[in-house]
Amino acid sequence: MIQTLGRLSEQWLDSDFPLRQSAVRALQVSTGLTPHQVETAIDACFSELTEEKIRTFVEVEQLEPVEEIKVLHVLPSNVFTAWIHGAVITLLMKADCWLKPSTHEPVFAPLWKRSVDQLDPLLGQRIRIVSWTPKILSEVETVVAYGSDETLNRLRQELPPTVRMVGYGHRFSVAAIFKEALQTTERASLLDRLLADVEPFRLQGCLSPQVLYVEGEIPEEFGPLSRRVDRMPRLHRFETWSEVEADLWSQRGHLSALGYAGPWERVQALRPNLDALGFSRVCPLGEMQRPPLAWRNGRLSLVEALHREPILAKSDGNA
Amino acid sequence: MEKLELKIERFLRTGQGSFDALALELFAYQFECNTPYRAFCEAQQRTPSEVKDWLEIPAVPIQAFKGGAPLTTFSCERAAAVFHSSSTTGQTPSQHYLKTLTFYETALKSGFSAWIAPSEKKWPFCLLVPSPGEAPHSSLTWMLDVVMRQFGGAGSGYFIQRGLLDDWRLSRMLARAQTDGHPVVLLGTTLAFLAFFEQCSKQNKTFRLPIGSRLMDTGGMKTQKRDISRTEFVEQVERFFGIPEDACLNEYGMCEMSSQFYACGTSSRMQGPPWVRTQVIDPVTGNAVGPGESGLLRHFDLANVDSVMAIQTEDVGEWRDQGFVLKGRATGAELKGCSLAAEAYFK
Repeated sequence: MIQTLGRLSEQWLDSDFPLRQSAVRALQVSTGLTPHQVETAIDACFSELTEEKIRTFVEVEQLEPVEEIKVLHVLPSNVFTAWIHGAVITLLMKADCWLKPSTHEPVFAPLWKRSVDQLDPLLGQRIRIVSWTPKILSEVETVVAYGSDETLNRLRQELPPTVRMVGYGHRFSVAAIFKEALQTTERASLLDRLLADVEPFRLQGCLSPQVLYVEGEIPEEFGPLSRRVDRMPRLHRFETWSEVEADLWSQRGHLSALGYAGPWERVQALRPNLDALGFSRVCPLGEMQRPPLAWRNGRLSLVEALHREPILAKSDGNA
Repeated sequence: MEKLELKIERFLRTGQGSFDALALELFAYQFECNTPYRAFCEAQQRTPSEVKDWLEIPAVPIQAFKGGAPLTTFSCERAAAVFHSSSTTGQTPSQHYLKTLTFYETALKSGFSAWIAPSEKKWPFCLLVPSPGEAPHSSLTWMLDVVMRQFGGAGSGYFIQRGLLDDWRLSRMLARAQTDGHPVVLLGTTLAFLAFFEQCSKQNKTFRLPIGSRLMDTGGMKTQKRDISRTEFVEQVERFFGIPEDACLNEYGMCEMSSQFYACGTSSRMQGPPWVRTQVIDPVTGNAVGPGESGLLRHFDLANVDSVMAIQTEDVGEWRDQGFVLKGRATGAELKGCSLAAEAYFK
């Protein structure tokens, strides 16, 4: 299966792959994103799902199958690729993967399933695109859902007690540029790296940096940023990290990723502070939209959740 | 066989036609000629041969009008008009390309004459919106300009210039109407009327407009200071203009649609024309909700001939007596994204 899923990613990374081309056309309608934004998001998603990366994930996580269970994924609309990692993990654990597309973005899941059907019909049989029925929550063992806290709470209330629920709620990300990055050759690449994080989902994803903290003066080359993207992060300058912390402290628990530019050592020194703020991912600027399969979205391991007893499996992650 | 456009145009003019049959025929046409929409439908394997009921016609989210490929059955260089939505800072406006204004104007005039201008007489129209010269892509401005030219009498005009309400000129016009005994028709955004009422209140000024005067407002009731209820608004219309409740209409429309909905007086129940149907959709399940339950409005507008007829909005409403009650704009991340939470924190 690892080989199949890796091969699947190779296909999706190939710009001539017909289903990718269909997706680029259809997703412009369901998301309002440009072809470039859609393609960037597809590339970011499947480049983390290569055979090698999946194999490493399986080995590190020591995946044990949870056969004979069905996992219903209630998909988000804002980040059309957000559910793919969860679906792949579901398949790797040999569970059946049911996908309920969102009201607003109903196209990517059926196209992905079609690509699996073409490559491995048997594996494709384990994926179902489902519509909502009154009984659906009692037909599965686990529900993985993305959405607002209101949506997740409503699902929890409707859930039979024997069904696990993994909920990915609202979160957001920020980026930080340390002064060292502005004093070296790194500076030349900063704008492009920031754009790589800002562009894919028009700043609507939980991994999109809503705020860019810059140590010292904000570089003048960031001025034209608003001409290159239709939405841009707020720019805040800081002198000491404690100012950033103070700014974010009230949001701890709602933070997802920190993208940084500057010395890794400075970030390492801040690790306890970042943990206290609740960041589940710290990565270089430009890599924010490429979470690895092992990323614990909302500090939650889907692998662990699928093994847990239903009553204990409750979490708030992000989408 | 009669051309689809002619059948729809007749429906818009007369209110007579088979919605179900025309909806399926229009879907087949849009599937055939609107390439991005076709891709959207094909991805879901919902093609004209699969779709047997108008309720199954795939509805595009509002986001589809905000970027990506234009949703048209024609080359957008040939567009007769492009309507843009108003948008707040940081939001991407919608763009709706119209191949011809025939359907838009026919639908508008039919609805407007039924709700706002039932009389044959032409009274002066006071428009509390910017003129087309100042807002060339505003669908609201365009709409009011069309009805002013069709139904308005001598002395009609715009009372917002360079973003400012010309309350002095408007006051003079209303005073003259009061003195002469000629009714006037006031059309504009709810916020513009509220701004005028505030001025009137400061100056301790009220008008008793002649019987036959009417008012139509559109847009939200949310001001920067506070939200006001429909009942409060209608009371203010009565107090400052002397226009009774049954001559006070509320309009709901969007630049992505070619038809409008209206509600009368303090009633919040919006009603559309016979060529438009609306569903209320549960955002989680995607299924239609029952009476009394809230959900997202999904409109099927036959007047959207050369774009897409089925539109999934982000407006929350509740189905009521063959109409719907508008309850606001959805804020949940199931629609927009988790970044919304951040906006609340950092505003």
